Amino acid sequence: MKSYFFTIITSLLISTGTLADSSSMLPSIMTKFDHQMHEEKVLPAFGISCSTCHNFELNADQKTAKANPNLATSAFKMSVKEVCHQCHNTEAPQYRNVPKSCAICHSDQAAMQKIKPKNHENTAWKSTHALNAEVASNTCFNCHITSQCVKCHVRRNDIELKNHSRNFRFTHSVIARAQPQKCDSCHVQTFCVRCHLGK
Amino acid sequence: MQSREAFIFTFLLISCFLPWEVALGQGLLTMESESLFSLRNNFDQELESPFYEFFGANYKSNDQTLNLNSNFGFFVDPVGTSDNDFDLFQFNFQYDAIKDRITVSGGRTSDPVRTVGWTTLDMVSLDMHFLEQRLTVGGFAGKERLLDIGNFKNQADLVGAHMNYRTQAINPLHLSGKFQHKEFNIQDKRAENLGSFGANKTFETSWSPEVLLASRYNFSAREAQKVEAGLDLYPTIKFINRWRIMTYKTTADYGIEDPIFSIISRGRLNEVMGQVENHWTPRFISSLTLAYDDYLLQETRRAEGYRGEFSLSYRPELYKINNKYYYFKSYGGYVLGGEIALTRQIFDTNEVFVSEDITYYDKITSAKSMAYNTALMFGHFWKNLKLQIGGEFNSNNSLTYDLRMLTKLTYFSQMERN
Ligand code: HEC
Ligand code: HEC
Ligand code: HEC
Ligand code: HEC
Ligand code: HEC
Ligand code: HEC
Ligand code: HEC
Repeated sequence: MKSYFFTIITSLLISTGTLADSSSMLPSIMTKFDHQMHEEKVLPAFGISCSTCHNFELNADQKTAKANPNLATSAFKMSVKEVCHQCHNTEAPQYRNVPKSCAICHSDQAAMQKIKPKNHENTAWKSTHALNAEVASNTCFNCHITSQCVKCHVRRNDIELKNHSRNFRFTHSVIARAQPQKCDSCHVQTFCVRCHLGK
Repeated sequence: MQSREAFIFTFLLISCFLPWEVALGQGLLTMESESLFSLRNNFDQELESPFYEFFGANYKSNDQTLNLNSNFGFFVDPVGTSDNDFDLFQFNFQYDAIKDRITVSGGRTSDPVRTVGWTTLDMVSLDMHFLEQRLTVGGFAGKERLLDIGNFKNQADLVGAHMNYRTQAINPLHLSGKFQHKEFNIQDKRAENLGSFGANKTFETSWSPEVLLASRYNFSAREAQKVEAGLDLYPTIKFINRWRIMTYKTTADYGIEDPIFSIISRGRLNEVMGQVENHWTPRFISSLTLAYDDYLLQETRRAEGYRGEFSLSYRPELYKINNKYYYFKSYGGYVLGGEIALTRQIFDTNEVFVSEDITYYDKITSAKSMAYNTALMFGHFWKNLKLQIGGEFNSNNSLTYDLRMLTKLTYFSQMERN
């Protein structure tokens, strides 16, 4: 238990309030950060000292601390994003056992939206994700769960259309003949036969 | 399945998931339910009242050793036909028998991870991880399920092996290889052997090019089913230029699950697609996509296909606006249309959604015509719930006056156990 550090050092940390602005994901991520767990299980294992993240250094007695000049403006040396990502979002081999799923921290929907990859923007992604997913589908599931994909890929309902538009029914003959390969990912012939009885 | 059975099943499933919260270790439980109800006339002007319920639950332990996944839906129509339907889309587990070394999984899965292309199957699989988990080698065996065929009836048995490799870099080279053998349970249908190879790498030079390659080879038919190459260029951080070229061919084997492609085309298809996307501001993005296809229609005749799409997405404070114009042309005719959808948040807990889609088409089978679709929905949020009520108006060749009432209730929750 190193919790007595907290009493000593909290007095040094004049403002940690500068950490979070209102639109930030930080408050929600920080509620998940278990300082004591990291301090007991993680930091010694990786040989990381308080000063890797913080603007202060412990003195040799391990009980008192020496403040760096800019401690007044921030408790950290780098942005909190970098603090966490250095272990949780890295390819570095020494951190291979660190949980890497983005959803541990960016879990709620609002936070997940903020880290949406750039290639996802706009409607264009719908017609281009197939290739990315075919090559490296495992990377998608760092953020996604398959039920998100199932909505377009497997599920069928005619109330709220997920993949086509209402008018598609009247134009699918033209589209199927323009790009006939596009239907194969989700439909087989029986689906069409349902409406096209005589075929 | 009867709706009573569906209900019992639902109850059992939910009661399976609740104890997770209590019994399992640190992790994230996500649950989502979507209930959809509509009142409308069908094309014979008879009243219908379809109701769909979709439920999904996922549990992921923080240390990534356990993943449980379930997803099902059912359909009833209390007023109209007595149709009902129950579908189990997914019901599976994934467990690290030896952490970071051996993963076992099983159950009904629906994803593109192990199989060549998207497949739903009941399977068991074993994966082994090497090189700090950068290399995964695995195998699976299972029964393929096709939702479209008599509700997940089994048509074929599948066995396969796959490997994934990535190099150790910020932008790694990804390699993937798969092989699968499909044995049909239908007389006279030949077994199918499919292999696939894919690669993907982003280069840290100017324009940060990302190169993608996906290919499938059908060993039984001795043909390349698909080869697709892609190049994504980022000349500036705001501008993306994507290129895709592909060749594609599947062969019909006269079963009821024939690929759509083989019904329409008699031979190889080639496609080239180009796309530019510009982020004028982080909240205003536009993109233009053009594609050209060419395939063998009959023994000697080739057909061409064109697709064009221009889309705008605009996100001012409190608004979500999508606007899209599309054009398709094939020997079947042409389609030209525009679509706009607007969502406006009102205070913190309400939203209004309006959309309009107008399509003009000229088909070889029928005269020129138009189809209109207008939707208006009001939404209200509570903590984990969202209720949407509204209506839709359509006017088209089948019904000139088609008014539908819609309601949707969404439940979404994520519970953490720390
Ligand atoms: C991996 C980076 C990291 C390391 C290493 C680290 N901390 Fe922290 N520390 C944090 C973060 C992040 C917070 C902010 C937590 C919060 O706001 O809930 C914090 C907050 C604190 C606080 C303020 C707590 C409060 O409630 O205001 C104290 C005191 C503290 N750390 C002491 C230490 C000591 C002593 C060490 C060395 C044993 C240490 N820290 C090592 C990341 C780190
Ligand atoms: C020095 C590397 C390192 C840094 C820096 C680090 N973590 Fe961790 N973190 C770990 C390791 C290792 C574990 C797994 C501990 C275990 O389960 O044994 C972990 C686990 C977690 C967990 C899951 C805890 C659980 O209950 O299993 C959360 C949440 C987390 N870290 C959040 C954070 C946040 C937020 C930050 C930044 C403020 C951060 N971590 C910085 C190494 C690190
Ligand atoms: C251990 C916790 C943790 C994990 C795991 C984690 N992140 Fe983060 N991430 C953070 C924190 C903390 C921030 C800073 C949030 C802020 O400043 O509002 C952040 C910020 C980001 C940002 C910047 C967002 C912005 O608005 O500036 C991106 C992008 C991002 N993370 C991507 C990822 C991806 C991709 C993964 C999965 C590979 C991931 N993160 C995993 C903690 C984590
Ligand atoms: C860093 C996190 C992250 C990664 C990695 C990621 N996604 Fe996403 N994705 C998101 C978020 C966030 C959304 C928005 C979800 C929402 O709005 O509900 C999204 C949405 C989507 C959508 C839905 C678009 C729509 O129109 O509904 C698709 C399709 C998709 N992702 C595919 C993929 C595929 C395929 C991959 C892997 C190649 C992938 N994603 C990797 C975060 C990610
Ligand atoms: C990503 C999977 C996917 C692809 C690819 C796809 N569909 Fe669909 N299709 C669906 C889903 C899901 C539905 C149910 C309606 C919805 O949610 O959009 C559907 C419904 C339909 C319907 C019934 C529409 C109605 O009004 O009831 C037709 C017709 C159809 N698809 C034809 C096609 C054709 C032709 C193609 C190829 C050009 C195609 N689909 C490609 C997923 C797909
Ligand atoms: C929801 C019912 C429905 C489904 C499902 C459906 N179609 Fe159609 N299809 C129609 C209707 C209605 C027409 C006639 C529309 C028109 O031309 O006015 C049509 C017309 C066509 C035509 C033109 C027919 C001709 O003789 O020129 C083709 C080609 C076609 N569909 C292909 C498909 C394919 C491929 C699928 C499966 C992916 C499919 N359809 C699924 C309802 C459906
Ligand atoms: C908004 C609807 C939508 C969602 C959500 C969606 N997809 Fe797709 N997906 C499509 C369409 C449409 C195609 C066919 C497009 C094409 O080939 O250009 C497709 C094709 C694919 C393919 C190629 C499949 C094959 O057999 O050729 C893969 C793999 C894929 N998607 C993976 C995913 C993954 C993984 C997710 C979830 C992270 C996802 N998709 C979510 C619409 C969707």
